[in-house]
Amino acid sequence: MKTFSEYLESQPLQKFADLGKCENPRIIENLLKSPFPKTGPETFALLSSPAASHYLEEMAQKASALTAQRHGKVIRFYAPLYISNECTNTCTYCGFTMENKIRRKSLNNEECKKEADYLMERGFRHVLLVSGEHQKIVTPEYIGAMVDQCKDFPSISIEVAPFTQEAYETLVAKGVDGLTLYQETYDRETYKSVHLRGKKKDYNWRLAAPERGAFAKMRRINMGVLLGLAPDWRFDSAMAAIHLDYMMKYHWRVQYSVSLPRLCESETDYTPAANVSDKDITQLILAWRLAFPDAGVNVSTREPSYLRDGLIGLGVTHMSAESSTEPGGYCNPQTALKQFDITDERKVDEIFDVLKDKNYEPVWKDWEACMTG
Amino acid sequence: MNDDLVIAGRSFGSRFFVGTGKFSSNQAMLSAVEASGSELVTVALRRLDLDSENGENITDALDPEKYLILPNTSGAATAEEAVTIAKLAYAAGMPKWVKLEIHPDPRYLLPDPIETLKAAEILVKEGFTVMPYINADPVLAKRLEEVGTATVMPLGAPIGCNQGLQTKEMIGIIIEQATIPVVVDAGLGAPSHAAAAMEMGADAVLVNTALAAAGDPAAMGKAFAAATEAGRTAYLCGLAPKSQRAEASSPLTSFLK
Repeated sequence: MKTFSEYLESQPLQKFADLGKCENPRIIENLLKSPFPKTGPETFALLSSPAASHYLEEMAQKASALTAQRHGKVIRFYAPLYISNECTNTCTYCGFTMENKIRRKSLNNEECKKEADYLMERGFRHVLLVSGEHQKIVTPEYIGAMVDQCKDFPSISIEVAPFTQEAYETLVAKGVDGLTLYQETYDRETYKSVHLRGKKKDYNWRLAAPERGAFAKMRRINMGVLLGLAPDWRFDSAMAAIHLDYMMKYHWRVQYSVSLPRLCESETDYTPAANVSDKDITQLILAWRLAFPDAGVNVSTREPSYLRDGLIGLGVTHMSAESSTEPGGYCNPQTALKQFDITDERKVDEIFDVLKDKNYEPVWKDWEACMTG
Repeated sequence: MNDDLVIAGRSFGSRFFVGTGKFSSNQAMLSAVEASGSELVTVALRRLDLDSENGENITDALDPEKYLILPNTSGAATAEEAVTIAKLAYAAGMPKWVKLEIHPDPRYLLPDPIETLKAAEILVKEGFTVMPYINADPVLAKRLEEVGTATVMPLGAPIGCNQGLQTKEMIGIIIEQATIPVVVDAGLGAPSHAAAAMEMGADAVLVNTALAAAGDPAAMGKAFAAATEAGRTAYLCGLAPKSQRAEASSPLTSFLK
């Protein structure tokens, strides 16, 4: 079996770049009306092109029906639990970057338990443990200890530094069933220019991490790019589509989803290389849905409420709510420790009302770790 | 543009494969194979008399320079039997390739998925290029791919029935998910069936009964080959819209200012 890096070398990347620049409306019309609409990264590239941006309503109608058919009229809710903002990387765009003189904090067992209890009390049953990447502090062992504090959650995901397959295996054995890991950008030049110091400089180590997670039997893997980092966000997203397509074909037992985080204000003075508008992100979500009917799509509280509401039914399957992006932020908010500002600050009840209006149902619990064989 | 099909490093200019059973004579079989332009011909090892003198076996009539002569394990009811047959074929000087067919059921000759997976694993480890004949089961196709088979060969309908693509939906899923060539095998009774399979994105088709039982096997071989090529071309250029259905409903993107 080829690794993803090897597979990527055999891919006609220029072709994907060209498809993503498509300006010919007829190609998009034909694609949308094709009796055998092809799925996969080529279709994704075309549907995220400038030509397709004039067909958002047509795409939305199809995406809406497809989402209901494949995923149901439900949105699965989760909450991030920031366990540590300690980080040994210098990433010019991130609030946790080593240079930033924010207070550093890693939760201890008791603090983590309190945060977990708070989220349980709010109704969440799926928690995403998030941390900075610190080689000595945020180790697999430390994360394992935090997972132990979250035992009441039926489903636990992690968004941490890329680890070895063995480390992932020990975390899976502890009850972690989901891995979230963004390449940030697939553009090697951009990657190099924003990741200045630390282990994160190693592009290939990160690139192969989802595959290591799959080998370690993660049930769910969530991938994506940080939009706005690379100048050509369309091609960057198409690269993620190639990666997802590879994962779906070679690690077909895993449930996949994508996230489309946009760079937003953090405690750095980084200026995004590209502006990805609300319309652009809507187009991308529709393209993901139509090109990968079975992949989940996450939308976090980074996005404004009007956009999150509008996107319900158009492809989104997972949403976070009431999020805090600092360690300990639920029980003891200090705001000085956070990674970025959230935009949608509504309580879940308000969001549920919107769902109800749209004839959608919220889902808290979707899996129970003890069922994992 | 070169559109050769590559299986385990070997290129095939024609995507139409032929089975050699059921023909009224070796001559009828040969003329059908020749007329079709096929470059892959499968032969049941059980039909071969390995001790015979030259000129009596099907394989003697086929030029190994022109065709890949693919031994098949037809008749095997278990993994063990299939492995034995494959090894015998190789020992008899045939290529180290095998079309793996295991069908304990003598009525419909439907392939046994469990024995097939078992035998495939053994044969791949022993260095065979394995092309398993399977029911159109997408999960089985992935499992076989994982053990290292060179292709999967899902059936369109029970072998010899000429009913066409009865398993179309499942074959569609297999094609969508496959990382190895998908050869639709069994059940294709008319050239239009072959064209339909190719339009969907199958990498090749294999036909036997529809040629052997035709009034003029050679002419039918030609017709199938043309249909296979037509379907392939249609797949490569992408089919045009089928209908212009109106899709009026309340706007979903009006929230975007």
